[in-house]
Amino acid sequence: MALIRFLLMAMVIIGCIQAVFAAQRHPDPDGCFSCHSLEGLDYIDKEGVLRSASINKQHYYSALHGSVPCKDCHRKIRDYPHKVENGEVDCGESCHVEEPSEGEPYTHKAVVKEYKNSVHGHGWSKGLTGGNRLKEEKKATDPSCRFCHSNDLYISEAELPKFKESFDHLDSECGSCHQGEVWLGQFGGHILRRFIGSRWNKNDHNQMCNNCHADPIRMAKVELEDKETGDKEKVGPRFILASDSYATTLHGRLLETNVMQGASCIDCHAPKGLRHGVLRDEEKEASTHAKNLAETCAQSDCHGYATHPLNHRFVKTDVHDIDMIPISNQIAPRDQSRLESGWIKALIALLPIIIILGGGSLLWWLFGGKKKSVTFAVFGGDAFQEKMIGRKPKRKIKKKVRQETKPTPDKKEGENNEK
Amino acid sequence: MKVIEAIKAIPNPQKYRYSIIIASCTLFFSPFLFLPGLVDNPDLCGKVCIRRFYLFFPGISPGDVASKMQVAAIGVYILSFILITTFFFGRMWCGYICPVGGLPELVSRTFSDKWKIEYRALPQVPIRYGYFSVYLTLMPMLGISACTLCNFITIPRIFDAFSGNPKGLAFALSAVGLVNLALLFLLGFFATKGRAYCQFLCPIGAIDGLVNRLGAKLRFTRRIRVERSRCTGCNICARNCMTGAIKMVDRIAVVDQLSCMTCHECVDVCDWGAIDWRAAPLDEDPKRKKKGIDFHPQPQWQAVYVTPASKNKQT
Repeated sequence: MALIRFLLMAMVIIGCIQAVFAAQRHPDPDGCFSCHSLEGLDYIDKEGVLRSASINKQHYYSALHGSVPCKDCHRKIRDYPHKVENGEVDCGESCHVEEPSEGEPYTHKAVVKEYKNSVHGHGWSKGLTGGNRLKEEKKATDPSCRFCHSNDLYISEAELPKFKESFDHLDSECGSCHQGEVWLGQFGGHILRRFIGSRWNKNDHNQMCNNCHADPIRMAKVELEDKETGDKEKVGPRFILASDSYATTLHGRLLETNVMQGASCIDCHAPKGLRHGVLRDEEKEASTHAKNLAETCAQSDCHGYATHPLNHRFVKTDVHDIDMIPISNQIAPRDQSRLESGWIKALIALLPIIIILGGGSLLWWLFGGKKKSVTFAVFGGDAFQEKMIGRKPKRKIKKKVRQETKPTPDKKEGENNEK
Repeated sequence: MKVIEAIKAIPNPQKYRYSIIIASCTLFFSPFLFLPGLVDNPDLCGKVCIRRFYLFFPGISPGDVASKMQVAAIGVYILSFILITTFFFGRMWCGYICPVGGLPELVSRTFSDKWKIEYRALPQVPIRYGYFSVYLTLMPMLGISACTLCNFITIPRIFDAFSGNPKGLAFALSAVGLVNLALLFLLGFFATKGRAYCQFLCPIGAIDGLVNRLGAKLRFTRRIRVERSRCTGCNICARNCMTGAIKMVDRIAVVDQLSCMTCHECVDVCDWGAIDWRAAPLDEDPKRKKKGIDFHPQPQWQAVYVTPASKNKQT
């Protein structure tokens, strides 16, 4: 048994290193590939949709779970041929990979638990992956695990050269503390990948969120459930257009230009734990709850000063400002609150002045302007003449003609200069 | 024909200045985006932003400042370059290059002055530095984003919109964008000489003005300086000054170096050579003196207003 386990683990590691080209090294202990590697293994399901059951061996082995035998996840399948429903996978199960320090089998249980408590965990994720794929794609508003995590490459192609180079030095660098072939062979590569960095950068994370949240038609259908009363209510424009408003902030603009100091969606909405626990702002545990905002903004490398008491208004800066979205946006439900914004009021105050000045300029350009005007500017012309030029405005000149008998001060200075 | 005559009437140095502004509009804005494109940026925001990294927050640590500067590293370089040139030569960036301030000026100059608002008589320095200190300290503290009232977003977005970029149109149609556009009209297109935004709201203008004033007292720096004995008090320079930096004090032109943009307009219209963009003569003592009386005394080019009375006390 130990020998088999060792062999399997060795395969995991080898699979990690030569992920892309090592397809032939992977065994298929359950023989699933004898059918599923065939091309054109298609069927029409109950919903009448053509689905493909073919698996490209090379793609699969290069992927994140490429070293895990099929039956480790598809546990309900015992016989051949199997029922389609039995293909369902529960990501919360433990798998055979053992973590060396604890000696316990690896499991996604903690992630699944955190995710189930999150705002996304109430819907189709209950079935987790397999069984509800079709419904998920058609109507679901809550994503399942598989919805975001497809079986991607273990190491992204961009990071592969860096990984290979570091792996060559694994013996000398990690080996001084972590001795023994078992550790180096089994987990060196796995941990090294974690050091090199997560496979996804912030832009990839945002793209994942945007797959749903950037689609306003889809988002308009979302209903939020009150936890206590169970009442459902439709979401407002702030929610529907959250992706658009984020893109107008500095957070979004920095990431758009690949400056990674910008904050991604999950940097603020799920900064802690396993980063799956997105909660509604109203929930007390939410990172975006009014009481937790300062701590969230003050994360390392971000706004360290946010916890200062004088900055309590700063942390409430609207980072999903609906006023940055076109008022003509038809997808958002017509909401009177948008018109109550201070910006709209300012606009109503400024617009008449612009229309008067613009209309006046146009008319002057068309019909007037032949005669040179004596007064400059509609507003402030007299003040300019008086304060900057030192001339008295016309109407005042008439009144003060008689009083101007005294010698002016500039004459005195003229005399001084001559001396 | 009226237009051609009007263009012909522009003094030659100003024609060059206008051309440089038009050129910088094409270099900085869509559709060409040549200069921001060099650093892979689609606008003047993010890493190119020169208006955010010096915002002050209570409790800010040197590490926070460093990280802000790191984010906007290119903006830091640009601002440093602007300030160094300003120190030695006057506000070259503001007057000659800045497309964000230059565009409203050029547009404004095409309209009749009759239908404009005259801002130049307002107390510029208190308003500018009052707003600047609010912008630096109060607005960030109150959670008002510095990006909401920013011409460095508004004007590039207008160009985006005309270049067919949907992002530009989206901004122009948002509540914030519409107010920004309204301010662009009121403080730009419909302001006499079109520089009211630069004078009142632009933080770069405020910092640049301070550096300009700082360097003005040194004799070797180039500034718009007045030779008082040549000034006839005709006030044509004050009327043509786009920033309202020239004020007639006792019928002699006086330049406020906190507001002056070194645009050279006053020099071009002065018939008496009483105002010039130059360094002060290095030797302060007149060369030809006889019995204590100066013959052909050297011109006293002054960048900063010194009253004749205080000058007499010094000597």
